[in-house]
Amino acid sequence: MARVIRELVPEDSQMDSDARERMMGHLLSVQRGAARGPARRTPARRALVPALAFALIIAIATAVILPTLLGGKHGSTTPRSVAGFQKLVGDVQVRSNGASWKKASMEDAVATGWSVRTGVASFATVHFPDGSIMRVTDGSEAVVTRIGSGYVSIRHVSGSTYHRVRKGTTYVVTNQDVSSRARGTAFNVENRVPGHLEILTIESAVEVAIGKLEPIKVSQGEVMTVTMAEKKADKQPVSIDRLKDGRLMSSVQQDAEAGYPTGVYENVDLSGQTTPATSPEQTTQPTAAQPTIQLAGDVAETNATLNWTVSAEDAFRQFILLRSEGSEPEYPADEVASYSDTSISSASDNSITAGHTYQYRIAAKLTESGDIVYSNTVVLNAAVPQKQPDKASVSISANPAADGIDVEWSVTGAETYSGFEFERVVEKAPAGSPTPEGTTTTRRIESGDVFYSYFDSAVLPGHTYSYRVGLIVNGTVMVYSDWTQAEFVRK
Amino acid sequence: MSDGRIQPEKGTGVLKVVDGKGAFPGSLVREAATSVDALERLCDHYIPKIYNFILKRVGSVPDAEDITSITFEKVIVNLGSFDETRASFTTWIYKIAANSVTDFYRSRGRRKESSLDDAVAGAIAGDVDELERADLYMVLVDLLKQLAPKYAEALSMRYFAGMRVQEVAEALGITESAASKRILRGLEGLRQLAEGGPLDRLI
Repeated sequence: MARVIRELVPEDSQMDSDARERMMGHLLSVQRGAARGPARRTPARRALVPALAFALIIAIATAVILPTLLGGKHGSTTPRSVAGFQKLVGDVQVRSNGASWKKASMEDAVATGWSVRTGVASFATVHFPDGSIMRVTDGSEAVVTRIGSGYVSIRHVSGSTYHRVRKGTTYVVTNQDVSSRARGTAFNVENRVPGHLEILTIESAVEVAIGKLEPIKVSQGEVMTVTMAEKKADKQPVSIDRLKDGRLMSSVQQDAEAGYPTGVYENVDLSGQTTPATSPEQTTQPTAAQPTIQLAGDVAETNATLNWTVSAEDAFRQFILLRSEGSEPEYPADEVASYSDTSISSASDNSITAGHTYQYRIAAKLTESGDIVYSNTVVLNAAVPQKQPDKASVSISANPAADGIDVEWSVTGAETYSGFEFERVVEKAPAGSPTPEGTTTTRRIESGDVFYSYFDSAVLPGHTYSYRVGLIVNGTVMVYSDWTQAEFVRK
Repeated sequence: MSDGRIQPEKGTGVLKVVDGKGAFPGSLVREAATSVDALERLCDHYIPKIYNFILKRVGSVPDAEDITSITFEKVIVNLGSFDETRASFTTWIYKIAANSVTDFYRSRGRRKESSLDDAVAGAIAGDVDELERADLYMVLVDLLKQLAPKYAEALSMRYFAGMRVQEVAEALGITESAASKRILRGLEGLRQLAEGGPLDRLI
């Protein structure tokens, strides 16, 4: 029967996006109500409730009935959670769920499930109901995976997408299992270099989560590059050259024209004629005249290895290794080691815990001034090591009951097994028994149905039975329990 | 379920299901009572699982949507009473979903006619044989409705939610041995109900 169920049970399907959205709206109102706690009605409130209810009915009746009586169409339509195009330049195409690509028009209502793609020298600006915008730059593609009340999620497929998020909106951009979550910020997501995803924060901060790992904050003026195959991340201040990128400049310029703050570009001439400055948060980052320090790192189980290189010999008099979880490591709060011997260029940290994500960077003291120069930040995930298999064993017990023998067992030292082989031997039987001594019964318990008990009702009075259970791994019995005996007295 | 893995309990060596890599962080569960962001993340994580669990059980999209909404409403209202030392959040939410399905049937009468909604049929049906499979699945859904709720609950958790026997036991508040017996008896009950019907030839 279990096999039949498995054969018939359908694949998972997705809830209708409108239904889900309605449900989310309802749940958020339930949450607000639950957070306030049960309302305690005062006598005055009791009097108010019927009055308000009556007023509400009148208001609804007026809104719904009056337009009909007056011969017009129904007043307002239910507001739909769809986005629209604010600007279309060049070759821009859209498609709804499962449909074919078509040329985009300003009249298109971009709903959940819609994709937008652009050709050469083209771009599209999508305007969401909450006021957030997404700019799909040339040669790029993105999918709107959800538009809800105060919630927008985008799947960045290829190229580069620029996002200006309205304050208060939860806005998430995903690419494979990397998600960038922002509230009230501007950032750019790009994967034009194969195998690499770049998240660049123009204003405020973005939280980037790789898989299920703890999110990493990418602050204004920082760029995180994720190597997708290895899920390694490197975070560092954005370079001036990167800021001068034409696509970025163009998007930020449009933001500036619309009156939005331009974050890291605040002091930059958007005409591109002058050298941009870094963000206020990065005042300690190296200027063009300063020596620089570049950090690289790797992790094996719970041992992190850091290596650094400097741009000029004897430029620094001390290196301080910084480490933190969750936020950018700062000097001196996050110091884990310091090195006055500046010939040292590597460090090993074996005090980390598996399953945690660490950020490292070097604070280097300049030889002359003693000022701090920070390296880039390296993000390392200490993976949980694979557990070495213990020796498996099965323990068993058999207890006579009124109408049979209840056999139970448990397993230690094995995590993956597909079932059990249940074996019974008649140890003692009265003369003339249909199941004489030595009669053996073997039953293989269905693969995938891992049970830990069996009620043997096919027993006869006056018989003694021995039982054992074998643990099945990859189709064969890996280990048997000891034998256990039970005598069945009566039925 | 993908959120759990089995490992021996320290000291006793008894196998226990523990939260795995895909489990929802406990801190976010607590925050979901008050934080919009945490609630949205919780819903993102669990709605697909719970919706499909319910849809497979009831076979009707509108009903599944309603019951999913009711389930999450109960979750939000009762988040304060969730005790993570007694059961994992995943187990707890499935238990609420199972109860909601049972309540739903009670409110409508257990033998309500089922109709195979497009979403379920679409997930099954690809060609003519698959259409037959979709019909047979709805027969199965109807048979499940005829089972005593405690057996239907155990079977749906085991085969629709993909729970391990230990997780079913935890969700139902019974021992592992009792859970496996309940599943076996549920299967036996289904087999008897299926005798002579369209599913008989498959058994």
